[in-house]
Amino acid sequence: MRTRFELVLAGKRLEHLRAAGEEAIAEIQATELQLSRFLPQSEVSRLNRQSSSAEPIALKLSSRLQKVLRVCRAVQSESGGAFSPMTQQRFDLGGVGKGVALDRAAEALQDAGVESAFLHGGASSVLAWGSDYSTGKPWRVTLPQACGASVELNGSMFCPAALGVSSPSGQENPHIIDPRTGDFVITQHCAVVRAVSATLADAWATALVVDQSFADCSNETTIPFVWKICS
Amino acid sequence: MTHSFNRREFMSAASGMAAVSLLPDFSFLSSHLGAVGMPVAVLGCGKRGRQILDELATLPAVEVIAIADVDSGRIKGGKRRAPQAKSYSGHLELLAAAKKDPSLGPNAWFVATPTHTHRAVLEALLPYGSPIFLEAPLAHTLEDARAIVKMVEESGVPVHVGFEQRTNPLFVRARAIIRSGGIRDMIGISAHWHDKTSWRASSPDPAREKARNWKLNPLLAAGLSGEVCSHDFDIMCWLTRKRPTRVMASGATRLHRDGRSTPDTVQLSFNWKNGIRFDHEATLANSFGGNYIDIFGTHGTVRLSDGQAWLFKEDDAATLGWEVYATREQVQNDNGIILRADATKLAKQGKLNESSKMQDSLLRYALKGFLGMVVDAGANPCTVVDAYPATAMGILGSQAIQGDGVLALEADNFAASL
Repeated sequence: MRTRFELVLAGKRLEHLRAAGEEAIAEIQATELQLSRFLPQSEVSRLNRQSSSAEPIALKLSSRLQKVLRVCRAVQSESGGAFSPMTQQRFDLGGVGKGVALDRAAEALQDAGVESAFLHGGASSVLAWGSDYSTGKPWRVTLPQACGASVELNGSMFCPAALGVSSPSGQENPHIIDPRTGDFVITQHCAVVRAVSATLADAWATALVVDQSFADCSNETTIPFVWKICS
Repeated sequence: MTHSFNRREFMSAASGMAAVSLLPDFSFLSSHLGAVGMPVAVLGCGKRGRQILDELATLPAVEVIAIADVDSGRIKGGKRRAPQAKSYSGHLELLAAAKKDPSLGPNAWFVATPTHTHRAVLEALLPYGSPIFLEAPLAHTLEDARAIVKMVEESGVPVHVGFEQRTNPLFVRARAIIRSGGIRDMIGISAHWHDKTSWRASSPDPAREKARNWKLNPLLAAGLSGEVCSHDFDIMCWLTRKRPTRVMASGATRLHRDGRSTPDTVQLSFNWKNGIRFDHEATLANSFGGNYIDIFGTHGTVRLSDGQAWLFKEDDAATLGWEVYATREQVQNDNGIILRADATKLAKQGKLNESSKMQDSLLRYALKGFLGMVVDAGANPCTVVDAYPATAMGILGSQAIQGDGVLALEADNFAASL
């Protein structure tokens, strides 16, 4: 995913935490191998290739990919098409890849019994549960300085708290396409979404950059923020 | 307004994209099995078992109907990948259920349980009769490895051992070049495997940690030599069919000083009677370079690395006919001829200059080899007899590390039956 993932795990058994962290990283790597449209061996690449086949063939999608596509489809529908798992008629799950990776890493950590963790991918997708080991309080994320706001992530082991941030893209480097028009989105709005899963948070953060009308509220500071809380 | 991706949109997706011919083709599964499909079971839901489940989840006409693990905590990860599968607390429970109700039984088994359990698992599975994909190596002791060979041979049940290089199309190509004299006389092999991980498995229950970390117990596993290096040893066994006469080895714990008695860094050097040497270096303390293998000959060197392969020719080597069609690239200071599987086909399609990387995972190619054997009457890519010598090298290498560092190897060591 060409981004850095970091995991902060709290607990008493250091060797156990390292092993759990390695299993989580393995899940992140496996997610990339499944979802990347740039890797020929990924399931998404296979899907895109098979879709272009001259002779129609039966496709079998893994249940894990089906689960991701179900979430994408729900957000696509609810956002009126402001988010789509397809770009230029190809499946492109780049908008939710980091979120999916974090959700799966979290599953591995929870299976390992890690009671408190803070994970992020590229500082824009965040997932946490338990409490900050240094303060004993819920994990807190400070949003970019221009806003100064911070978000408390008080998730539990069985219901982690996720945060998805989609940053504004200036005219120089637009990177989000409005699926409804096919045009690059030029906006000054930064979208922040709290959700129960990082996949959902990422999908909605992308949708909100495209169309702010779905936001629950906005914060007009130096960098305008739009917010959404998904259950 | 609602948006969804429908079939038409899906079918038109990427209409300009070219098919990549190097991908393993599993269409034979659908044509042989039809809509009914083949029910399979995966035993062991640890890291390897989960990888197998991930691949099986996308194969046409293969249905994972059962998963089993004696560790109930592992089942969760298996169920996420095969939610429709029935879960069992081990292969014995699954066999008992299949005895009562044959519809619960699989037509093929995938065994990804710890190496030290292979013997007992096979003892139970072989009478059932369905073909078995057994993760490599065969066993953690020579005694168990021989017992496995004996019982499999007596049963007549096809068992494919997962030494993956045998189904790696790039290595199949490299092997053909080497065996036809492409590097002339072999001097030796050097293998490098670096992966900075603890090699530990986590467990929420401290009481289960010991069982989950069987790889760190020298009584239950042959360490890096057995679990990792044996895969590369199999390359040598497959290439030459000759057995080494001596091993010098050493091991140290350079990073993971967590009470383990299995070294995290090992060096092994096997010698053959004719002067050929196989040097292997493996470590869990550093990840630089990953995994690669150099096969040196008097006229050239073949390097296999992370889904790519090259032939580096010596200046005095004769031109090989197919070279004129080949593409070259600089690898460090040497000019390498890129080896491709299916090169002739790619040349006809005008795609010889496309990515030289292998298009799919080694595991996927291995599964294709196994399933081809099961449903398409293909040859067994790696029988238990094939897998025995590399398994033995891994075990003997580990014994040298644990012992005096040098071991003279007898012909008996490599006899699958005594």
